[in-house]
Amino acid sequence: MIRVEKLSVEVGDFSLRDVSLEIPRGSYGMLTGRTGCGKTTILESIAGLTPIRSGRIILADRDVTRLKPAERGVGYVPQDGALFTTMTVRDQLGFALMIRRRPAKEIARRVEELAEWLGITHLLDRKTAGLSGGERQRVAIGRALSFEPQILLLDEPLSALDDQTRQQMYKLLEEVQRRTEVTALHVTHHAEDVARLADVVFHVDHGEVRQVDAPRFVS
Amino acid sequence: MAVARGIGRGERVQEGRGIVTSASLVGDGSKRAWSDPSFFALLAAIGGTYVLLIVAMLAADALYLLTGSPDIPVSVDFDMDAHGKAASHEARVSDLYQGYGLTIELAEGSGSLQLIDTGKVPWQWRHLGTPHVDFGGPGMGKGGVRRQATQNNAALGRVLVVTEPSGKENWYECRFDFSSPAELDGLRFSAPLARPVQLTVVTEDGQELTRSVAASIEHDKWQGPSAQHVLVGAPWDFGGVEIEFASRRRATARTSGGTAVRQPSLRTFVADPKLGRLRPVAARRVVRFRWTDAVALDEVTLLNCLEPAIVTLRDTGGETVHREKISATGPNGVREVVFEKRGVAEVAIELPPEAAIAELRFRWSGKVLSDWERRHPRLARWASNPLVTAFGKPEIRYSIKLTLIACTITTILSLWVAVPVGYLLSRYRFPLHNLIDAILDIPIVLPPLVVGLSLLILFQFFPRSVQSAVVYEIPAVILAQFAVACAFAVRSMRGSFLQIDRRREQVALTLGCTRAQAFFYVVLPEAGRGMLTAGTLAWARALGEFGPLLVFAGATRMKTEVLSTTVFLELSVGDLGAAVAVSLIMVASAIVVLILARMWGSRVLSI
Repeated sequence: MIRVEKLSVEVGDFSLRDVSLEIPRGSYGMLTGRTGCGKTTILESIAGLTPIRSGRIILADRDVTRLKPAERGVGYVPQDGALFTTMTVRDQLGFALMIRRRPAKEIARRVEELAEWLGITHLLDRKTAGLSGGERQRVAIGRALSFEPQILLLDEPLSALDDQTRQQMYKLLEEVQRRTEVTALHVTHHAEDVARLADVVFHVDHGEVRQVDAPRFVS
Repeated sequence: MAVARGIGRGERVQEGRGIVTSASLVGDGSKRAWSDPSFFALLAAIGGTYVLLIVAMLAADALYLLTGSPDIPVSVDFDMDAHGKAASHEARVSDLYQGYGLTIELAEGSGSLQLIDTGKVPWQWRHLGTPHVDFGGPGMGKGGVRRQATQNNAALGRVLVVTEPSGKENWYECRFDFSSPAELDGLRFSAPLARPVQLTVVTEDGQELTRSVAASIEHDKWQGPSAQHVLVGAPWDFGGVEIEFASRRRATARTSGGTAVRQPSLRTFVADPKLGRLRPVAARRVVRFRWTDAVALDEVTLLNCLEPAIVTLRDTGGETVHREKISATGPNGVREVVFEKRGVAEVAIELPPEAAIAELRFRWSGKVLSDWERRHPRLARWASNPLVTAFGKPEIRYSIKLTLIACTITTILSLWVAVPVGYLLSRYRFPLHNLIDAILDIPIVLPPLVVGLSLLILFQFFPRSVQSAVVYEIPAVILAQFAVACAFAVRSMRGSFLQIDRRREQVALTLGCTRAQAFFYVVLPEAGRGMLTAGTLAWARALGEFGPLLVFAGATRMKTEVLSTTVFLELSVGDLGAAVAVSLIMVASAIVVLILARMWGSRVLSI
C-alpha cells in the first residue's frame, strides 16, 4: 500500500503543502490534474528522488521517509520510459537483479518470464533505438517490475501513444496488476486512463490533493 | 470520419479521427524546396571562402615540399666548420668546409690562407680588429668608425687573410686602450723580467713613443705624455703586467692564457702571439671558393679593403655569371655585399693588400650530391624532399615519438579529470558552482605563454629536487599540455553530461543502484561518445600546444622537443623545408587520429 501523510515539497518556485493520500494494497491509484500542478513531484517524492520538507511516506507498511530510492522497493516508470540506450533489452530487464547480485541463471529465467508475458521476447537482443512507443513502455514496465517490487509508480506512461497501442497497454496494465498484485500509482491527465484503470483517484489542484470517485465504481 | 487526400508524391494519409499527417501538399516540390540556387550559392560563397583558405594553406605546404628545392642557408664565418664545431686555428683552411662540398684556395700568387681571431689582434694588425674601438673592440682605422656606411660595429670573430711569414717570432702583447687620454702612474710585472720588454705609448694625436723597459716602474715614477693606448710586448711570454693610471686605478692583463679585463674607461686586449710570425701580404691576391654542386650565393662580407676588391662568380661550366667591383672600405671598415645569385659554383675574390674575408653566406641543397644524383637531378630532388630528410633526422624522429607519447598521456589524464568534474558540474549545484566554472575556463582564455610562465613561477615554490625533476624535463611537457587540454576536455564533458537525461540515473537509483553504480552502469556508457569527443579535442589541443611548452619545458633537442617546438626550431634555424615537412606531419597525424576516433567510435559505440 501507499500512504502519504502531510507531505510538503518545494521544488524551485513550486511547492506542495500537506499532501495526504492513501492507496490500499493491491489497488490501482491515479493522480490527475492539469499539467504542471505537481503530479510528477509527488511521484518523485514517493520514489525518493526529490527531497521533501516534511511529512511521512509509508510504503507497504514501512516508513520509507528517510530511505534512499534503492531501499524503498519502488518500481518507477518515468515519462518516455527513460530506457538505457547503451544496453540491450535483455540487459535492462535483468539490470535490477544484476545489481542485487542474483545468480545468472535466476536473472535469465526472470528475464524470459517477464519478456514472455509482456510480449517483448522478440526484442530481447535489440538495443533500444528504433523501438516503437508501445514497445518502449513495455520494456520500461518490465524493467521496473524485474525485482518484484510491491509498489509501481508510473508517470504518464501512455501519453505519447496512439489509440490502438493505448488500448493494448490498458490490457497489459490490468494484467500486471492482476499477476503481481502491486500497488500502483499512475499519473495521467487523460480521462480515459482514469475510466479504464483506476480504483482510487486523486485530483491535484493548486497544491492540494483530494480524492474523487473512481468512474469505474460509479455505475 | 473525414479522410483527406493530397496530390503528388510523398504524401501520407492517416485514416482515423480525421487526422492528416505529413506535408501532403509538397509532392514533388520536395525538390522545389531545395531548388533556390541563388540563395544557396550565397551561403556557399560566404562559408566557402574559409574552407578554401584552409585547403589552400595545406595545398601550399604540400606543393612546397614536392616541388621546392630545399634551400638551407649556410654561413661560412670561419669560426665554425661545416659540422658546427669551432674551427681550430691550425686547421687547414682549404679543407675546413668539405662538408659543404666547398674548397678554398689561393688562386694566384704566393702566401698562405690563415684564419685570424679579430678580437685578439696585436697592434700591427689593428686594422683587422673587430669591432672598432668606437664599439669597444681592438679595431682601429677611419673606415670602421661610428656612423660610417662601413662601420665596424660587431665582432666578426675569425676571418680569412692571406699572409706571409714576417720573419719574426711570436709576439706576446698586452694592449690597453683608454677612452680618454690617461696619466700613467706605474707599471708592474707579475714576475721579474729576464730580458727587457718593449713599451709603446700612443698619444692622443697618434704619436708612438717606444722604449724598452727592464723592470717595473714604481708608483708615481712614470714620466711621459698622457696615453690613448699603451702596448707592452715582447717575443717571449712575460706573464702579466699591471698598469696604474690616473687616480690610482689599475688594469691587469696576462699574456699566458690571457684574459682581457674590462673597466668603464679602459679596454684591455691580449693579442694572439702567433700573429707575430705572420703578416698580411702587401699585394693583391685572389682567393677562390669552389663548390662541387652549384649553390645560391647570398652575401660576402669583406674587412679592411684599402683599395677596391673584385668578385667574380662562375657557374659549373666555368662561365662567368657575375662580376662586381666593390669600393674600398677604408682601414678597419666592413662591407657586406649582397649577391643573391643562383647557380654559382665558384666565387673568386680579388683582395686588395691587407684585406680579409669575414663571411660568406650561401644556400645549398643540404648535402653533397652523389654521382647518380648529379645525373638525375629531378629524381634526386624527389628522393631527398624535405619530408624524407625530416624523417632521416634523429631529432625529428625523437620529436615524433615524444609527441605521440606525451599527447596520449595528456589525453588520458585530461579525461581522468574531465569526466568527474564534468559530471559534478552538470548534476550538482554546489556553493561556488559559478566560481569553479569560471576558474575552469581560465586556461582557455589565458594567452598560452602566460600559462607556461605561471607554471614556471609555481614550481619556483617547490623544493629544488622537484624543480630539477620537472622543469625543462619531459614531465613538464605533459604538465604544460595537460594544463590547457584538460580545460577543453572539461568543457566538452560537461556539455555531454548535461545532454544525458537525468531520468535514467533516477530510474537506476530506484532499481537498486547507489549513486556510484548508477554512474558507472548507466551514465558512463552513455557518455562514451562524449568522452571520445572530449578525448579527441584534448589530443588535438595537446598536439598544437606551443607557448606553455616553450616557457616551461624548453625546446631542447632530443629531450623536450615535440613537433610544435620542432617547427619553431627549424624555422629559427632557417630550414623552411623541414619546418613545412614537420607541419604536414602534424596535420597528417591529427587527421589520422580524427579518422581513427570516428571509426573506432562508430564500431564500438554504435554511433
